[in-house]
Amino acid sequence: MKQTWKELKYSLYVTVHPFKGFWDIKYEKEGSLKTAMILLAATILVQIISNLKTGYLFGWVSVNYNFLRTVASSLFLFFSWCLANWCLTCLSDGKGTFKDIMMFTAYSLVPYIILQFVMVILSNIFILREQTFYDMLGTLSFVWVAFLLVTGMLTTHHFTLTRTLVVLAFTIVGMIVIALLIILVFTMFQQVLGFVAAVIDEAVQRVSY
Amino acid sequence: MKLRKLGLVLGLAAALFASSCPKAEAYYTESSSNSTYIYGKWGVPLKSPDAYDYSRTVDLRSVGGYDLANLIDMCVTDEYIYIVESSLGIIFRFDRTMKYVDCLQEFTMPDGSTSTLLKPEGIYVAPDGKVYIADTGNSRVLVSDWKGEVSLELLKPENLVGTTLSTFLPIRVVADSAGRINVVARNINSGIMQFTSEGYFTGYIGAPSVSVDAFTKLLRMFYTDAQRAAMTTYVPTEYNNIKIDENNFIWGTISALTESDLASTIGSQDLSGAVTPIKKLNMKGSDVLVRQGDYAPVGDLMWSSGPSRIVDVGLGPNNIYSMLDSNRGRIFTYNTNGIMLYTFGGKGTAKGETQTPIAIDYVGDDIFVLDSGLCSVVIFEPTVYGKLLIDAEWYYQEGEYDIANECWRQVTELNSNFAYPYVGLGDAEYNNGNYEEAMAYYQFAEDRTSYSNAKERIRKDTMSVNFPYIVGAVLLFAVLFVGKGIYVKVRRYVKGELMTYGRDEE
Repeated sequence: MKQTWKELKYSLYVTVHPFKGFWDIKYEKEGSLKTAMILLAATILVQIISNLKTGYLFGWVSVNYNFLRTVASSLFLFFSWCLANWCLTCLSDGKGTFKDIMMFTAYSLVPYIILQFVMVILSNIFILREQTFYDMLGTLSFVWVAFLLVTGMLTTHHFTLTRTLVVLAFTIVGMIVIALLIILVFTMFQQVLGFVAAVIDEAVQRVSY
Repeated sequence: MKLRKLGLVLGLAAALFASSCPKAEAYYTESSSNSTYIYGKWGVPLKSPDAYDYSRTVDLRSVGGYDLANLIDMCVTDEYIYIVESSLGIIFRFDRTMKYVDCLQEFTMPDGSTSTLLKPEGIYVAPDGKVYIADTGNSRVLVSDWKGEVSLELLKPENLVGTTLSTFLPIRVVADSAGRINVVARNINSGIMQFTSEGYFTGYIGAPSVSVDAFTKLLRMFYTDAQRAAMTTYVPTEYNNIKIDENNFIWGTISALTESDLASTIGSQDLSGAVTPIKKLNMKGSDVLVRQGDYAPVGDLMWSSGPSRIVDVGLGPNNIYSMLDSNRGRIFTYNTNGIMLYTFGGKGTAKGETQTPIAIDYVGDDIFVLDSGLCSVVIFEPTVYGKLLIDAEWYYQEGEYDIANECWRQVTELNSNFAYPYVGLGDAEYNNGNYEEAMAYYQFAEDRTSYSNAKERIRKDTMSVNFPYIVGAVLLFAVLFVGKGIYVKVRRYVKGELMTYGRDEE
């Protein structure tokens, strides 16, 4: 417990000292998968809070909002990123394991968690005239996370910057491929299930007559 | 266990893909004619109570011993209704209950000769009784009185510039209170022709200013004169109809708009009026129509058989105006701010439907539509709901906000699809200082700007009440923070001293 707390505090250190931070997470046992998963959960939680509690002026709350949707899409994004990144870095001599990738990705999300939370509060205080500041915070959180992802990848895989950026681009392509594959599998399952259901239906009809 | 995990993952992914976006549901299709609707914030038609009811149809196929076939224009004054029959070249006069009074066929020219009309297309009767006739077949505009004494004959102006017009084909004419004559002529796309009361052509008004961007200007520098001449193009603004209101604003309608232009105007919620089927022109000829709705007044926002083709505008009570769509026979009514109040009407042969609607006018609160196809006038009268809308506008414009709001409240009870009244109700609460209630109304009306203003007032109030506490809290934190820093430093210093001291002792 105390260890987890220490690691969570260290995740804050990582956001401002990414190069040393990510190195320490991987090699100096300053981080763990458990903490990474806590951070992931926090991200999803903040995302849900943001979807529900953002002020009227800045939010577009759908009447039929379903938090499972947020959970699923966040998890999908996270794991497809990790998987695609792992696939590509394996091929391009990356030094990170799947566990390392999950860790650096989750640790990179810390600025997003903090800033999104701040934004939810501010969205209930700000008026339209101050929208610029609100939007700026949003942009800042994304840029920061992107920067952390790049440095995280760089440190974890022992890549050069060019290679990191190339792998990053291909990782995004990989994510799209994964999404397509999942859709494909689903459509196929649907067809198969539909077929089985039809067969059962037919059989029941025949037997009952 | 593994299977369950797989199931969980699959389930989550299914939730991701299966939950689709909320579908925009079309409550009405354009085939359901004759029922009243409005357009909501998202440009989707929403049901509305009937604002106008079909009252009766006046058959005009045989009037005063004449067989009428080709009715083309209508003009309403305080006493009479004038209708032009084009094939016969006769102007018929009815009273405001559409009872036939008399007609005008023969004219006495200023030089004493008699003259008749040839395929006239437009009529305007000024409040002082002067009759202005666009005598299209004879290429002239006649100004006369009801006895047929012509006081002015307007022919093709000799000082006509900027056009290669061969024949002058006036189709609509209006005159303002100073006697200035405005003419819409066929095949002229430079705007409305303006003449002095003596018949001198002074120029065009209402043509869009052609804006030239910097790049084109740069290119022009390298062009030859011939190329430059070829480049001069007019943006087509062929007016098909004009009306004039009591404040001398000229209302022009335009139907020569491309479907894609209209679609992009609607899609981008463009309120600039660059592409518009209706213009309200001031003396200078600039468009002063107020467009404050979510969409500019263009008629239908969704269509499958072409956009609305606006052929006339009826100027109603309290600055309400109705546009007539000859494509689907619809009547689109907007208030002075350009908010759509209701849309009704349709094409067909059933009661309250028209075949070839060509002109629309308000007679009091009633709407008269001239149907050239059925050779009749279709009359609609306001329902309780329609009357409420008219009254609300009246009281609002008179500054009786409390009564206006009572009207709006009743409107919201009758029509929960109509967001606009909630803005008015919100404004009322705002003016009374009830910002919380105002915010609720604004949120209902999806009016974020007003909501933001109300919120600012609340924030100001809370801030001024709580300001001492906030400052106190900040100060307290600052003191604690600095205090802690000092404490730590002092402690470290003391400890350091002790340690050094201790070390020294050793």
